[in-house]
Amino acid sequence: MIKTEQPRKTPAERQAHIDHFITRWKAERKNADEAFEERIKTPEYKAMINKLKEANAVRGITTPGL
Amino acid sequence: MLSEELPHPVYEYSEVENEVNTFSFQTITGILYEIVFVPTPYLLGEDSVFAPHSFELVVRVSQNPTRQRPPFDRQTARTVAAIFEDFYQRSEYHVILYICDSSDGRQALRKGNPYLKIDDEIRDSDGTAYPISLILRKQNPHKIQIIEAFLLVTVAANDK
Repeated sequence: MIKTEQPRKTPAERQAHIDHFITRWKAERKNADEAFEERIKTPEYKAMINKLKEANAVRGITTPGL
Repeated sequence: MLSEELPHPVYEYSEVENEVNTFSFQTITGILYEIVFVPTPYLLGEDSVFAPHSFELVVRVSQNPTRQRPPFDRQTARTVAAIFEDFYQRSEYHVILYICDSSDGRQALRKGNPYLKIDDEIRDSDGTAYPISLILRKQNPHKIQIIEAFLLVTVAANDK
């Protein structure tokens, strides 16, 4: 078990926290999406897809070619 | 072949190499999904004891040869649920947040399941609303405290 007591924040502090959260979330999502777009072009990613296709085929699930 | 006729209830999925908490699977129509649990320590506060256990669920379509909006697919929902289960098995403390307004993952969360989901929204200072969901195991030993921490964040938006 971990200690779970949370400090109380004022409404202004809570709003500041939300604004900080949303700003950071948008920035991190943008970076992650850009990295994702690059990653799916790599040979390693294509190899992983082929492995998935083979594994599905073994189970009788035929997926279309890419 | 209709998805209901598939010999297995879930698609084969795998963890993506060199990526943290990232899973991928391909549907019978060729749509390739990526399910990511992104560490999100900053929602409940980076000083929160729950920070290291908080993740954002991200559902991405990395390839869609149908060029149409991915349809509801029972196997897809079951596969997302299986990935959820896999991830939650790794720690009973895991808390998942979902931020957006649509998802295949939500369809996997049905009544009678072992998870608890709370929907709310947060607003930035400009008044823009962001739907947000908290998802955690009903058996999480800190369920009440986590929900309280989540509500302490979201209540600021609802107080206005």
